[in-house]
Amino acid sequence: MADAYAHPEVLVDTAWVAGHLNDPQVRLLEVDVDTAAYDQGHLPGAVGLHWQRDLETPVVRDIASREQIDGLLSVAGISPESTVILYGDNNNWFATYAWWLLKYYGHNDARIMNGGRKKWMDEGRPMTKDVPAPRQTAYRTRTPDPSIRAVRDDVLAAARTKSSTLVDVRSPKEYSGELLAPEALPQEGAQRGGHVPGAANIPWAENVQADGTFKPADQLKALYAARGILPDQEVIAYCRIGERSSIAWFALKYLLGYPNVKNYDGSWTEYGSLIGAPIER
Amino acid sequence: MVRPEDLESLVGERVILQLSTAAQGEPVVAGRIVGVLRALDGLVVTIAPDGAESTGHLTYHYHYVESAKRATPPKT
Repeated sequence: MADAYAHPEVLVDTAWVAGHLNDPQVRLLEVDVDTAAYDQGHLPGAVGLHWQRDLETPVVRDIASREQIDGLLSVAGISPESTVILYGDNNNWFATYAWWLLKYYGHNDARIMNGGRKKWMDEGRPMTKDVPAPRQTAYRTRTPDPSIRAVRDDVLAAARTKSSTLVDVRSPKEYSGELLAPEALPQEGAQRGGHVPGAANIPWAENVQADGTFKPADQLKALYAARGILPDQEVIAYCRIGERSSIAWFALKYLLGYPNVKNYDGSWTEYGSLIGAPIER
Repeated sequence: MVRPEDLESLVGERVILQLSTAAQGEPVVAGRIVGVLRALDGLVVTIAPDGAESTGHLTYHYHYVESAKRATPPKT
């Protein structure tokens, strides 16, 4: 019998979502790489999030503040008791990032729609351009959970003392330093190419199957074990800006149940511009 | 290195993939391409290796694939 996910409750399939479109307990949030995608059509009842405007602070580079998230979730009609379903394009790149952010701020019941927006559309399920107007709530986040977020000093320590195991989920040419960003994007964002010394290159897409859904637990376990990424280690996942790595973080921490896994949202755009930081190519 | 469209044209076919030394595992993998995933950071190919058709699918970013050739089915 196949191994079960450590926390199967964090994933829902498209059929489950289709059956809960009118469930008042369930709130849908769409967040895409392509910020125009939501306006072209989305799941009925879904509120759209803009990854730059809603998930980051506007001036200082940082994740969205507690006050921002409070406001965002309140406007989306979400209460601390809501079941929040996140999905998006590009195989949920920013949906899992937003999911990580909700966990950082202590939301209890958040789930990812397995396969994301593409799978929903491939199955011919309903889409709408209607923008919902949920009844506003007064959401209050909990104290942030720093155990799931890596910062620059954590990564520098890992590079210098091997205090953590690093997983670089970027494409092979970004890892090798040939590219500074995904090949479809402008080559900018960091001053240097390469990777953090000692990091294993496990591109994010190795976590998923051809239809975009996550691989079964036994295949995920084999994937990471083969690269020496084991449950007894402290693991830090990174990419370029922290969204692709949130997929690996999600798979390691919630699907496989590794206890100590952090997502480094500063990622290569921060590390690759640090003066004096060790880099491997 | 192969182009993404080369791999896309081989979906459903049995192939032999020659992989770069940076890829994990064996340098040559034979099996059926079960699908590809297009993402902003490049295409990813999923292959069901011979003998593990239903269980052990492997996934490779196309940057790792040096060549992909159609192959005849394995002898059983």
